[in-house]
Amino acid sequence: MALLRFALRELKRRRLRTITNILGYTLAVAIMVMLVNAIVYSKQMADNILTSTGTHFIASVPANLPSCPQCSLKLSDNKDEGFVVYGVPTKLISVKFINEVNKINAVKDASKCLLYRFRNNKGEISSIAGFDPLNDVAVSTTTCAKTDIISGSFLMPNDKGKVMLEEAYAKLKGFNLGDKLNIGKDQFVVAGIVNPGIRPAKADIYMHFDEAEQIINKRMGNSPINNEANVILVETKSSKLQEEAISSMKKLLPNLVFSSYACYRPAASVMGINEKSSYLLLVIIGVSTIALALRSQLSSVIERRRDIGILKAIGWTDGDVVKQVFYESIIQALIGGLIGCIIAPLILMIIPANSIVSTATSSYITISPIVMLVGLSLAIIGGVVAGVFPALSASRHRPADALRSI
Amino acid sequence: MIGQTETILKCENLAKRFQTKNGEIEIFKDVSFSVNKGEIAIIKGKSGAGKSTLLWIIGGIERANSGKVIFEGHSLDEMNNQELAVMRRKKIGIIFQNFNLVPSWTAFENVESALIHDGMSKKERSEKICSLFSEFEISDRIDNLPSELSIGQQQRVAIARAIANEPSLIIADEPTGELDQETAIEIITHLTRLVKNKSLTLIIATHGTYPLDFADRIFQLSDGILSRYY
Repeated sequence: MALLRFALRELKRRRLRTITNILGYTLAVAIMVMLVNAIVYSKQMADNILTSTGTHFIASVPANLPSCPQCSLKLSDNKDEGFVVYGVPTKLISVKFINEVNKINAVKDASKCLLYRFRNNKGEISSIAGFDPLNDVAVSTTTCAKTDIISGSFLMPNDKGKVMLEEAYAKLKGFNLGDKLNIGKDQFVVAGIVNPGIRPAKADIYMHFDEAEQIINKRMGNSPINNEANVILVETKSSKLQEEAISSMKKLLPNLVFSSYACYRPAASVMGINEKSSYLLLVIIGVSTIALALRSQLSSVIERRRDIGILKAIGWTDGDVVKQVFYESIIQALIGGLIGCIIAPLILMIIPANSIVSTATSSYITISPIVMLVGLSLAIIGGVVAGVFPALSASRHRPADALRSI
Repeated sequence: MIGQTETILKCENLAKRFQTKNGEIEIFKDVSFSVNKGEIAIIKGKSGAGKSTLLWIIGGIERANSGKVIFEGHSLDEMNNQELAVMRRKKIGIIFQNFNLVPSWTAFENVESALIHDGMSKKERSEKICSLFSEFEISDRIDNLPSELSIGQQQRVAIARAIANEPSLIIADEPTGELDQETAIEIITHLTRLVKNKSLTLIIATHGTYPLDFADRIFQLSDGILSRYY
């Protein structure tokens, strides 16, 4: 305890140097805590976005590919109609196969979908998407989501005789909520107007799978669809598992063709670059702080050469001198680190999160106690590193030389 | 009880040289002398004669180029730096030429610095230091920094630090060098009384002009040669 008291006394004596050193540690720890918290927060926000980016895709089998046990080619009796995905005619896939897809580990949800190009008696072409609202996970990312509703309501599992129209299609055709729409010989009520933006299984008209199946079968003549779909909507458990899911599905059905927005990788790599540069900045700040503290501590030891010589002359061992210098270095680091840990959250409580992280969803960046603890620990480690060389230098002073230099 | 004739310090053929830019300088050579327990020995000599260097070699602060220092039967030349430091702390009290108090520490802390590594409790240290300050009549200056003390008070603090550990040998390098004649005599009188009361051994290096009749032995260091003066 007496050594600690002596160390504190020395720090008080060299007030300006001590304040400068403490300030250095304070800034370094505060910047580190703020930066790491901002990085962690930013990463969480980015992950939230990226988990719904590139986690979904649709799969279909083009009509011209060889036949397979799980799929069949069925053509409509009507000209210009058929099961079309991105303008490409497709085969129908057994719903049993879709159940198999749901068992794949990387798949979160897989759902059946009918994408059908319909031609009315006036010769107008429109696309129909028949989906199962019960599989809302896969449906919402590939077809349309509840959040895409512009007006009206989203189709619920028990809704019958209702459709949703794509916003542009509704405007083009002059449909409003509650209007009646004829598809073939069946009439539907416009329950909602949606704008799904860019989705792999986008269509002009959205309806229940069962009702889509019924109206399509009325146009299929002798080969009605039976527990079949031409599109599989898939949501994977994570963006990183998309490749695994596609690969597993390919093994089950090699003829499958996939449509996805593979934007996870470039987005993730950009995030990685940002993180790397932030961590590099942290290393530079840390090393600079330690270097400055080391230089300052070394200068302090050189200035105190005489005092150290006196203490060694009256019986202080090299170890005692090392301890004294070490305590001084660690006390400065500890005080600076603690102040830094107090200041950082206060600053982050003042600065709105969205001014630091553009993807912020909360008002302020949340502070992790672990990051603060790590910051404090690093400050202490910095104090130890900055104290080692000066302490060893002090211990090497020969008392006679120090006394003679007076 | 140990008799007065017991040799506490024996120096044999000590030589010290310093290497400078212009070559080697010989400070002294073939220095041999001994001091008995309880004696007061004076090493006289002009400034730069090598008195301080000789004292530091005796006190284990400096090492000789050749020769031996035997203190209480132990050869200092065979001790490593750690052993020398512990020996200085426990057995040898040093009073420096210009007091050499740590300027940022109070009078109390300066004396305490000689005691903190000896395993005493804070209370024991406090009691001991207060007793010393009372003995030296500077109790009212206990919390003052050296810069707030007079020259005489600083020297008293330096002496208190030197004897705090109850050493068997005190070496004093020009202990009155900075003092006026009156204070110098006062300090020397105090030191000699202390030495006699506590059965200590005292070696003083001085070029002082005050009477040296209190000394048991007087040596003269001149031109690198130590001779028995008295």
